[in-house]
Amino acid sequence: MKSLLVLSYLITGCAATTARYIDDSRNEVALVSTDAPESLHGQGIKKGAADGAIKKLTSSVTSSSTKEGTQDLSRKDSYLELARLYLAKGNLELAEKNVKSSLELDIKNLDSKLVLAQVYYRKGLLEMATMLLQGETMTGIRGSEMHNLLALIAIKKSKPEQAWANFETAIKLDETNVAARLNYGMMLLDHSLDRKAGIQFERTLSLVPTQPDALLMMAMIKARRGDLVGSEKDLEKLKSDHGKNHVVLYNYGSVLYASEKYQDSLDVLKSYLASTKVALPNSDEAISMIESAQDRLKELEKGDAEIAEGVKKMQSRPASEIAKEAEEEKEKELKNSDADALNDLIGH
Amino acid sequence: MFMKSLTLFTFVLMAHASVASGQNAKKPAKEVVTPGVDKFSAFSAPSDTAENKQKADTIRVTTIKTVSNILKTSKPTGARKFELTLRLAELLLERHDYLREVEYGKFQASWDAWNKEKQMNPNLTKPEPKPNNTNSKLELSNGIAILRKLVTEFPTHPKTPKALYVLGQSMLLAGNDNAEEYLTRLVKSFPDSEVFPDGCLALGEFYFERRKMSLAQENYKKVLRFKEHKSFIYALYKLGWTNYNLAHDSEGQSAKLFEQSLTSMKLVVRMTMKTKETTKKINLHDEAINDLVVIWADAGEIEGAFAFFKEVGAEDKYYDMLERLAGIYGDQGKKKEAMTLYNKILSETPLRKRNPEVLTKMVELSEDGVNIVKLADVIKTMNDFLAPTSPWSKEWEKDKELSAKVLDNREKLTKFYGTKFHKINQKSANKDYAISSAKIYANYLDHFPKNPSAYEIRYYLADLLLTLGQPEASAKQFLIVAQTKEQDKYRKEASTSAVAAAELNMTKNKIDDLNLVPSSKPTPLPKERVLWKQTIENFVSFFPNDPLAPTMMFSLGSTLFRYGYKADAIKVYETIATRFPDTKQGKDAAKFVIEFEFENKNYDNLYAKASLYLKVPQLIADKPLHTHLLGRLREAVFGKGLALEEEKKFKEAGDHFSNFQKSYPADDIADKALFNAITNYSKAGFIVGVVSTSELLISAYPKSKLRADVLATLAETRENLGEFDRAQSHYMQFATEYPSDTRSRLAVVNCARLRKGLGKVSDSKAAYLFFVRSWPGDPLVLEIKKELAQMLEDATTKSEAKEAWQTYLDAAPSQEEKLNAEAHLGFNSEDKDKSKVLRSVASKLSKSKLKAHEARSIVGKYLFAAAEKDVDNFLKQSTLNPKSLEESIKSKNQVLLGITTKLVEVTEISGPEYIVAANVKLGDMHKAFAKDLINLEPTGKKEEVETIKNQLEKLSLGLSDQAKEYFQEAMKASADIPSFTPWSKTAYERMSEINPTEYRNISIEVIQPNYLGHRLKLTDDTKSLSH
Repeated sequence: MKSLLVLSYLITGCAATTARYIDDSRNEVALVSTDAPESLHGQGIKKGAADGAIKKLTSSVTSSSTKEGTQDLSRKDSYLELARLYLAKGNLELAEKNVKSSLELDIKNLDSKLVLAQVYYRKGLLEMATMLLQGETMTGIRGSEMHNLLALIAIKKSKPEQAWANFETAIKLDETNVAARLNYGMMLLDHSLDRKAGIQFERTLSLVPTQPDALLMMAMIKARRGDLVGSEKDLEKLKSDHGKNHVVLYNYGSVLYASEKYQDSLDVLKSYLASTKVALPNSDEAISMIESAQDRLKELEKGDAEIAEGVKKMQSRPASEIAKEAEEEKEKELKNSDADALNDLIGH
Repeated sequence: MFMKSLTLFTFVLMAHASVASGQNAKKPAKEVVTPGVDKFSAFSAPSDTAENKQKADTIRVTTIKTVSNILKTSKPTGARKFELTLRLAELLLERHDYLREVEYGKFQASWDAWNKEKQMNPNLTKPEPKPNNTNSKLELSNGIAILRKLVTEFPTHPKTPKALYVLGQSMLLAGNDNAEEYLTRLVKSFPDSEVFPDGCLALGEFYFERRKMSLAQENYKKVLRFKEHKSFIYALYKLGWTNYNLAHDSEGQSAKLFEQSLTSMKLVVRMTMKTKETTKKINLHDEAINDLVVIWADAGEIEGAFAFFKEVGAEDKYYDMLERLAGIYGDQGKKKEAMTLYNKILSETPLRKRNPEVLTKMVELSEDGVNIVKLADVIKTMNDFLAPTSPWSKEWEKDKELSAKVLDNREKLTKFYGTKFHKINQKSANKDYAISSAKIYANYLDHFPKNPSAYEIRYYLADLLLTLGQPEASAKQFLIVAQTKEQDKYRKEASTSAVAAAELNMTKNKIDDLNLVPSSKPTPLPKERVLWKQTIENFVSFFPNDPLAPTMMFSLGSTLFRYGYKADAIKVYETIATRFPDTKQGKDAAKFVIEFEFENKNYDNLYAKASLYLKVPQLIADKPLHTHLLGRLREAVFGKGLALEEEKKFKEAGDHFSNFQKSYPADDIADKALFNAITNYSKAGFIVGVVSTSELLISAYPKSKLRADVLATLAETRENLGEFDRAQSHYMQFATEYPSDTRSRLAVVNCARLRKGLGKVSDSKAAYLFFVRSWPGDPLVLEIKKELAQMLEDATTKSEAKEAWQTYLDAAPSQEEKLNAEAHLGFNSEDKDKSKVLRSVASKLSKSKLKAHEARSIVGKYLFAAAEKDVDNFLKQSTLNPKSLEESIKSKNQVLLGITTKLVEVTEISGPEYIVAANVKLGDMHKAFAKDLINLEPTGKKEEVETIKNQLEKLSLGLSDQAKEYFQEAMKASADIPSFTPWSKTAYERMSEINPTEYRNISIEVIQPNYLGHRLKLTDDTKSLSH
């Protein structure tokens, strides 16, 4: 399964971020979207690709709108695909309009219901989304998407157990469900369940090696596992690509702090605090780390002064005293080396 | 003959007189110069211009004044006076000529203008102009008066003969018979004078004009003595005419006189062979030849005529002569001889110009009242001979005037005899006239089909043919008349008669097809039927609203149907039904059409036509027909709808049923039609149609038996479309209106759940309670009660929630559910009861192996919350007193044990979340206690202090180890429990403090989990996404 997947990313300038990959085994193109503003943008698709597809699908819908019978099936599918594309682009109104058109052609179509529920979720209409999916049983990839959605709804409704269970089911139904793995991974990491979170991000990156959100989180897990150097390197790269993203800045600052690179940490965390005017989730922690880093820096400065004082003292001693001291040290080393040689001779 | 010859010369001589007298105001004729007055024109040649003539007249007037003045003032005498007076008279006569020409010119101009105006405006009242010869007559009169005096005063003057001649001529010109006196005086008194022959000629003309042929002949003969005289030939010519006229007057010597006349004319012809004319205006050569034709013909002796005419190069005149002779025969009643001559002319000179006249004469001669039918043949001969493509017409086609005249003449002649005989036939019933008239009419139509009269003549012909027992030909002609675009005078009669004739034709030809059995394949119509069909179609096309039309059309329709032309027949019936709905034929036709379509299962047609007829008030006024149409309409709708459904054309089928309802909303089966539409729309996936049609049925047909099903389906459809608010409304409407329907219970449940989802808590509660009240024994009741309670609890309406949970508790089906319900009950109770109830539940849970997740979660949360306060107090307060160290440590340890017991209870009773939390709290307490102990500074002796510190350190390390175990347990639990809890993070933080190598204290900010997946099929439309 894994070998059949070719993954890359689509990023648009819209509020939502989209990513797509091609599943050759199913002859499908898969998109991942999120409306989280802090999510990192991706790369790797020609500009206008989504618009081109929308244009063609719209044309397809229009040209077949007068047809009847079996033609309705293709119309329904076209409407549905349009809805998915608009949803991925963050155009919720057009997504809703098209999915309803699809639904009108096939009222019990589960795919349509799922997409409409996704639209409602994006719009914050959690109960509407829930009611749409209430009592429905979905399997396979569609089921995976449904459980991912139910998990997200559960999170919003503060039903952590339901969220957990639905993420588990989502991933069980479709191991390649990148969206579910990212969501689940974020939740696990937010609860410091590093090992489990690491599994999700690793799996994500095995499917989508350049998925930036997963890369970012894996860098942090790597740091907690002790690989500060590797983590720092990954974060530095992410920072160069997403220098204004507050999640990148905070995490980078945090790792630099752990690496005792206080000045760098201090600089990055200050950038974090300045990255946005809205409230940041970890501003208190950032300030705390900044203060701590400043203290550490002061301590280091103090330590440097003491070393300098010692050197100065040494330099002010008489040469004979220094020479004598060195002689004694040499003699001591010789003694030690002699002893080793003797031991070699006597065979010990 | 006589009159003709006389007329010729009367014209020559009277032209001046008529102009001079102001009579004969018709189109002015060309001026003819009177013999003997030529010299008066010496001043100016006829070809002179008007300007030159005027100049000449000016000189003339001056001369007249001069001469008059001389005669008055000088008073000459003798020859001078004679010459001057004669000159004066001549000048006046010249002036008369000039003025007359001017007057004539003016008259001609004014007449032309008037005529032009008259042609533009036929109603012109302006009087026709008349010539004004006042001035010229005055001069003529003056001249005559002077001459009269002159010849009286000078009777023997050498120039008196000339004066007499001029006087005589002038008086002739003035219409004065006294001219004879002066001319006779000239001839008798001056036989040797130069103007003697002129005087004889003038006198001969005077007598000729007055039919005094002998006197005239005498004077002409005197002229013939002067062979060199310029009027010699003319006198010879006139001599011939005098003999001709005398021959007519004298029976006994007529042959001789004719012979003399012929001799004169032959001489004139031969003597003028070279010059061809003797006067300026009259071609005596040709005139003589023409006159020879007359004379020979009148003489009836034509032998030698051909040879003579050939000799003088005028063979054509021979045929003129024959024609004239034939005419004479005709006049004499010798028709056979006349016809023989006419035929001779036509056969020998078929291109002769006058042949049309010959033919006309032949036609006229043929009307003898005996051989009536033969006349038609002669007319046919005439028309064929003169047809535009005939040799004769080709020969003369360049002569447009002639061609037009001939065409007009023969058209009129043909028409004349056709109508004449037709009228005679109508009065006399003589069949021959009918036959002849019909033939002439037919010939007329052959030759003049585009003549305006052809229309009327064709109508007459058709009528005659019917009379003559030729109905087929008659019908065809009537049809042509009826269909003539340009005229419509006989359209109605012709159309009607055409049908009648066609029917007669069928009778005549024994067409008996009324019992013909319709076959599947059309049988060709016999030609009589074809003609009959054409006549009916013609009639109906022109008179679609005629009372006869429906009967005719019905007959046509049934005939076509019998012959197997069913589609055509149906069209005819359709027309009858829509055009004559108030007639019996209209209603029968409507029924016939409907039955035909029904039997053939042409549901589209049946529907369309039944619908159409149902909109026709006259048709539906017939109640049985109305009922029948409605019945068939239903058959059409359902037949067609079902057919479409079978073909899986569901959308079309839906539309079909829907249209029926639109057209007949009040029909008994309108609701059934809508139901079928809904069913088909549903199958077609046309949900918009399902919804709108369902709503229509629900609102428009409240008593429909189908309404319940539709309402139930609509509710489900709305729900599937995500239209939850409408769906819940429909569900409740259904349950309210159809409470005994088995679907009502679930409808209420659905309604309640949808309302809950929509946040309509009180409405949802009402629905839940409605269910419980309505179906108290239903298996769903327990589930419903629990849902209601949970909803109220989520809505934080505690008192209502408590009541609901109590209701559920009372009916809880198991011990586990009772525990859960009790826990909820406690959770929603007031504080004083809450503790009691939850502690009771906790006690039961501690002794129970039941899972009771809800109860454990609620109780765990409560117990943890209760213990957490103690923990906070424990952590805030340091109860260790260095002075009573042991007691205080024991005391704090007791507190720790107490709280630990509570938290352990939490871990034993509650769900996984609080296991993590309790362990974290236990760890925190033990860690804090350990810290307190290590920080304690005991008092006393140094050795004792050291020992105490060692003991305290030992205690502290033990507590720290315990704390670490609790944190590890928390970490383990958080990793094991299938849920997310904030305590997991806390546990990690605690562990990072204890074991920072393994649990690195690195703060992480995560991205909000909000990822959705969207899979699209890779098609041509979406392939751009793969690039």
